[in-house]
Formats: sequence, structure tokens, C-alpha cells
Amino acid sequence: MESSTILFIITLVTLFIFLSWLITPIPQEVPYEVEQITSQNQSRPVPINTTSNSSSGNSITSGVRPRNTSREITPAMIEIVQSIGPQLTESQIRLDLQRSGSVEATVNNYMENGTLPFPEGETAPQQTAPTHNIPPSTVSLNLLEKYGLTEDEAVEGTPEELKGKWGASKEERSTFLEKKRKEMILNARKRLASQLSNEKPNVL
Amino acid sequence: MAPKSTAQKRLLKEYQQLCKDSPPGIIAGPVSEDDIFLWECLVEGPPDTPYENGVFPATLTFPKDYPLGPPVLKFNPPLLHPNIYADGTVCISILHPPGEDPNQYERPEERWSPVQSVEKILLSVMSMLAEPNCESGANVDACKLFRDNRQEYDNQIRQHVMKSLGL
Repeated sequence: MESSTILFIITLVTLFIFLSWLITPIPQEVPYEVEQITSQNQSRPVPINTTSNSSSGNSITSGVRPRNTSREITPAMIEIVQSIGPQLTESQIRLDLQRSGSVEATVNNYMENGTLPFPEGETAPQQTAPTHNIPPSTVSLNLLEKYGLTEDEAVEGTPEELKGKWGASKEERSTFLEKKRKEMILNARKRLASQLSNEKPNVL
Repeated sequence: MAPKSTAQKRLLKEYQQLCKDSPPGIIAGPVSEDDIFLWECLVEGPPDTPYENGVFPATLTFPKDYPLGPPVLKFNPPLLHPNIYADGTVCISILHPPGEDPNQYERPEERWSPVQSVEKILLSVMSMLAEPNCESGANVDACKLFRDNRQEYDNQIRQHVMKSLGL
């Protein structure tokens, strides 16, 4: 029984040593390393979720570095602001989040001013105004001109033959298509002409 | 021959189907098979509308991710219609990108999805010509004219049709 008691005590002691090793503050050089990493990252602020950070996070925020550089700007934060102000660019939002430190403050800034300041050297992206309502200047209205038809041209080849046909080569297919187009235009023209001639006697 | 993308294969298939069994009043096909993403279409004006007897040419421009994204349909020359922009671009629900309408106006199944096709677009366009929808107007001037002065609206379209057929 002696030996098992000894074993038990030894186990307790090793456990105590191990736990106290875990609890002791990290030696000075580790935060220094972390700071080096973060200062490299400052040019493009990203959440510092390295493994060393998770265990030594306390020592970082407790005054080694100035307060505002420790702000993490996550893509989620940018996304929230962007959903409120869709025309804001990512760099605008990031800049303001860096300054304000919270989504609420940035959103308030945006609500108050209607926009957020741009980072240096960046300007508002060119607004792509809808160009839908500017009619093109020169388009020939005349279909006969457009498709090179003469007024009394007859369609070569019987239309029924063309129906449902799939040419063997692409040249053949485009000829078929061309013929069908001509046929449709000329038929429409005939119909309109007969309609007009029917209407005219009524007018006169 | 270069390997064909999904979009090219699908467009070629639709072209073939339209050739074999095309709905009346519609002709559509690529301008040149070397560039299958640009089509030229002819749409006949539906009877008993001011567009009757008219033949209206339009271009269809397909995105490279077709059929995931909808093509752009543009009448060339532009056509006077409440749902056609002054530059000829058609604005109807089937040509809008898939998903929910931010304005909750269109149902998702009305919008573009890969189950739609060129044929369905052109058939929608024909019914659009027959029944303009002023509630979601693209061309405000045409909307006003259609609502307030139908006679002048009809007249302008008939003039357009006659001019286009050289009569």
C-alpha cells in the first residue's frame, strides 16, 4: 500500500506543476513576437486569430499596444454596414470602422452625413447612369433597306420547304434563316398593303 | 473546333429547336454561328393591336454564363412601348435576373431562370406588345401617351410600322 500512496502523491505533484506552468504569465518575448506580427498586419487590418493570440490575448489588450490599433474589422462588420449603405465602398467602410471602432458608430456616421469619407487617394466610383433612355442616333427604320430587300422581290424557294428544316452546315442554316426573315417581312408588307388599300376607299 | 461551353451548347440546341418548330410570328437565330452569343430576332406585331402587320427586329445578347443569367433583348430600331426603354431595351420580368424582386413586385417564378428559353422570352414579348403594363413602365413618355392619348399612341406606332415596311 505504501507504493500506491507514493504514486498518488507524485501524481498530485506533477499535476500541480503542470497546472501552475499553464497558469503562469507568458514570458516577455512572446507578446513581443505577437506585436511584431500585428504591426506587420496593420497595413491590412485583419482579425488576429493566430494561435499565440488566443492564449496571450489578455496580455495584448492590457496596455502593451495603443487601444485603437487592436480593433478588429471583420468582413461581417463591413457586410452589415454595406447592407445599410449599399453604395459605400469597402475601403470607405473599413476606414470609418477603424476610426469609430463599432458598427453602430459607423452606421450613425453614415446616417448623419449620408456618406462616409474616402481613404486618401480614392474618389467616388463613377456612377454608371442608366443609359437606357438615350435613343441611338442613326438606325435605319426601313426593314427593306436593312435586309437588302427590293419592294417586289419574291421569296425564292417555297416557304413550306423551309419550315422545320435544320441545315447541315452553318452556312446553309444562315441562308435558311435569311430566307425566313425575308419571307416574314415581305408577307407583313403584303398584308399591310392590302389593309391600307381596303381602308382607303372608306376614307375617300 | 474549340470545345464548346455549356452556354454555347445550350444556345445551339435552342437554335435548332427554334428552327425545327418555331412558334408563328417569331424568327430567331444567331447573327453568325461564329458568335453564338449574339442573336437577331424578328417579332411580328400581334393582330388587333396597333403593332399589327409590323415586323420588329431585335437583338438578343446572351451572357457567358447563360442559362444562369438572362439575355438582354433590345429592339433595333427602338419601338414605342411603355415597357421598352427609349434605346430599345425591353424591360419585362422574364428578363430580370433570378431571385426575389427587391420591390416584391414580381414573383420569383416570373423572373429569369434556366428553365426559361429564347422561345419563352419572345412569346412573352409578343404578349407584352399586346398588353402593355404601365405599372412597371420603362418608358415614361410612352406610358403617358398610352394612358392619356391612346389615339396618338396608336397612330405613332402605325406610322412606325408603315415606315419600317416602306409603305
